[in-house]
Amino acid sequence: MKLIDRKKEIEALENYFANARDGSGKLVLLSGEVGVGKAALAFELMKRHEKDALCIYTSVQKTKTIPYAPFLNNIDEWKGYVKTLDLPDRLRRELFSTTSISEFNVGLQERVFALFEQAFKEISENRAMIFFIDNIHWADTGTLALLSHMAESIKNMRVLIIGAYTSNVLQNDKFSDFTEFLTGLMMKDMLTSIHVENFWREDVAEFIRTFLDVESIDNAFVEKMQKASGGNPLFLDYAMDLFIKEKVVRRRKRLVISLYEINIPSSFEEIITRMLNLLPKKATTILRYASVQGTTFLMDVLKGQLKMREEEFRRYISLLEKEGMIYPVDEERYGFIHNRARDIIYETCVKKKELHREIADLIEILHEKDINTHYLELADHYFKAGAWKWASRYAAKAGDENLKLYSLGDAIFAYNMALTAQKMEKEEDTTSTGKLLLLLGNTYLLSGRWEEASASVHEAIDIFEKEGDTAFIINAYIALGDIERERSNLNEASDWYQKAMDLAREELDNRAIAKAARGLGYISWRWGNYESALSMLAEAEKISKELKDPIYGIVMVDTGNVHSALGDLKTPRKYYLKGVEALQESRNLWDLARAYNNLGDSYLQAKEWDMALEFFEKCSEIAKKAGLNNFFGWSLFNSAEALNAKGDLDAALTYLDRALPILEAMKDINGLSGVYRDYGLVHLKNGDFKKAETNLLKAMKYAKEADNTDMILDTKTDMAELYIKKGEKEKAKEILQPAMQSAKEMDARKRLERIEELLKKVK
Amino acid sequence: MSRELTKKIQEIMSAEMGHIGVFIVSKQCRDLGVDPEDIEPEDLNDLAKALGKVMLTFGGSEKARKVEREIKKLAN
Repeated sequence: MKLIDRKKEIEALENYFANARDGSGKLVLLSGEVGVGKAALAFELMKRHEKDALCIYTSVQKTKTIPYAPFLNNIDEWKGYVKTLDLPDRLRRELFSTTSISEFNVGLQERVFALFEQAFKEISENRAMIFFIDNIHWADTGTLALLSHMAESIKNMRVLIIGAYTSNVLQNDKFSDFTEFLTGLMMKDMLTSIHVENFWREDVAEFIRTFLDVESIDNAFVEKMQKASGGNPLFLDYAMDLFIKEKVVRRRKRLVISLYEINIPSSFEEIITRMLNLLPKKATTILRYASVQGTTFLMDVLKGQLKMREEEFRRYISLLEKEGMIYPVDEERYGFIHNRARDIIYETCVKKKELHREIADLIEILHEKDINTHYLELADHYFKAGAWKWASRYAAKAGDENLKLYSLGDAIFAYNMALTAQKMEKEEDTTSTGKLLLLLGNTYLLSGRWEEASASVHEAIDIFEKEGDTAFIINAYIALGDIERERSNLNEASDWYQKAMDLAREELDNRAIAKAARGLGYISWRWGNYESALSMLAEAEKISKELKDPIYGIVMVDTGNVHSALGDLKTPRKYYLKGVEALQESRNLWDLARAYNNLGDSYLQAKEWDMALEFFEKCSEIAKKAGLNNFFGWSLFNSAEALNAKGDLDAALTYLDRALPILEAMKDINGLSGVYRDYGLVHLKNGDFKKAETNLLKAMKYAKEADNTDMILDTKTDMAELYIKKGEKEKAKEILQPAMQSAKEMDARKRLERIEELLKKVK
Repeated sequence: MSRELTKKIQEIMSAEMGHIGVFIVSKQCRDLGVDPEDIEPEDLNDLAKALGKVMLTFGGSEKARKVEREIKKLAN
């Protein structure tokens, strides 16, 4: 596409590159609607600097491939510029070993990030670099996390990273990973973007003149083209290309026919339809079959459907590639260059149901060996074919795979698809529906969507009770206990755990006993009954150790919490670290995030702020990657507490501002009490006592609602500190005396020490 | 009045962005030196521009214009 009148934008990019060349690297984002020419801008910059910079281009594909793919695609282009010769091979080894790529690997991310950082550093010592990634709104979470990391790492490197994305697609995807990525950059004041707008009338005229290589063009034609395209460069490019193919215009000529005879397309759809009419019939057939597969398509499946001779097939594929309709994605797949073109072609297809069925059957046969990477694709095709049983089976498998990878949004989507398909099936298998509902409920729980979690599990219980399936009933009771626990409805949670415990003891189901004991131990801790908590957790520990049950790691973290509440600083860490080890092994990211958060908290208690921040960051990384919104929120406000203590009040407020809406959306009242307490502490530090009081009162309200004895005690002590600072010693004393009594009753030694310190000040 | 303005602006932004919208309001306020809990009518013009600019990045020009227009309207 031609680069017309983008002076302002190209100047901005030139400035960023000049700074990068001088050693101040940056990540710059280009935003704008589809076809506005974002990539053209980046290419222009790369063209201008191909001699003085290493220019790398890569693009994210809509179809999920492997994590970090955009960074990996071009290793061969930069490997000659690094000093550490085996670095590219080390990266490949890390990322292409089958276990690390297909399953979540906790240490992998750190190793991969460090290797990329080293690679970019070494390249930039050699020569400046422009690294351009197109379509970053489709990037996987790993790539986005790496981009965020690199944005910070390249600050002192001669590297300019440019990322282009379509801004109007974000509107329909409010909670996407990409929006979260932008927000993360904004939090760190690293969000630099250039918005690329559609063409004005003069730009349209220049575009057409440049396209046709003529000096002037009829005003009326420009007017009509401006009106039809809305100034969208892609529309203009395609429309002019269509006119050339239709022989209505010719390069180096003005219009070949009269302006009034030109049939200017009124929409992109019309352009595509007219382009299809100009193609040989077999080529359009290929496009139609391909469109049923999706925006990208497997070549072997397509060939299997068409039953065309290899040579003929290849010829038409080359033609379509030349015509700018499709492009090779990788060794197996091709893709449509423009998704809208694919959608338009798909709409023209007849017998879609049969075609979807045929595609699903072919994928099953041709991809038997790597079928697990096609589960969702298969489910989707069988669903669209109305083959409900198969759709449900593959959707459930896709849900399991995604759950294993902690791709929670995808897992929820797949399980819901499986349930819908199952309900469409005439002879519904109710036990299987119950199991799916329980899985869905647990997945909602992991995502922090507690109301939906509760509804799913209740529906599952109805089914299990009708079927009399005790083992599943126990598991569902435990799931409800977990949900109510997270919602801070401790009485309800305790009831569900107790019901599960009673039934589990009756059935002699030891694993379930361990789970229920763990739940009850947790509740006792939250109620401040530490002795009872330790006794329940000890039972859970004994059984889980004997059975080598993955719940062991969780029990370790909970036991650490009780010791922490008792005021011990070192013992909790021992338990948390044992927990981390076990949880890494069992790939339980939810509790691993919790363990890191609690480790951070133990350093907060010890006033070791940097260590605390390090562990909260680990918690945040896992939470973001695994979509654990509650832990993401918790790590943010806990980090704020450490930042506040370090004196970085502005950063603390930014972290709290970010945590608050997340926890509000989740109705996490425990988390909210923490956020407001930290707001109170920040204002207490900067001397705004009125705001400190307002926020601490809010914290107290939520802590009471959550029945969180530790938080109530901490907030009361903070209130007393506030009144001491305000010179209202009597008020402080009124709070501290009963607080001391509570701390004694709870045997909360560390808290008691703080209260006694404050009491000395009011005497 | 000021708390009411904060709430209204948060509503405009979260209608477009979900919970991130609320954070964006606080962040822009703090960058402009405006107390997010205490937005005054005279802050609206600068805030509308700043939030419009952010919206350009997050949601494109149409949304950006809409947000800017709606926030400026609150001054009346």
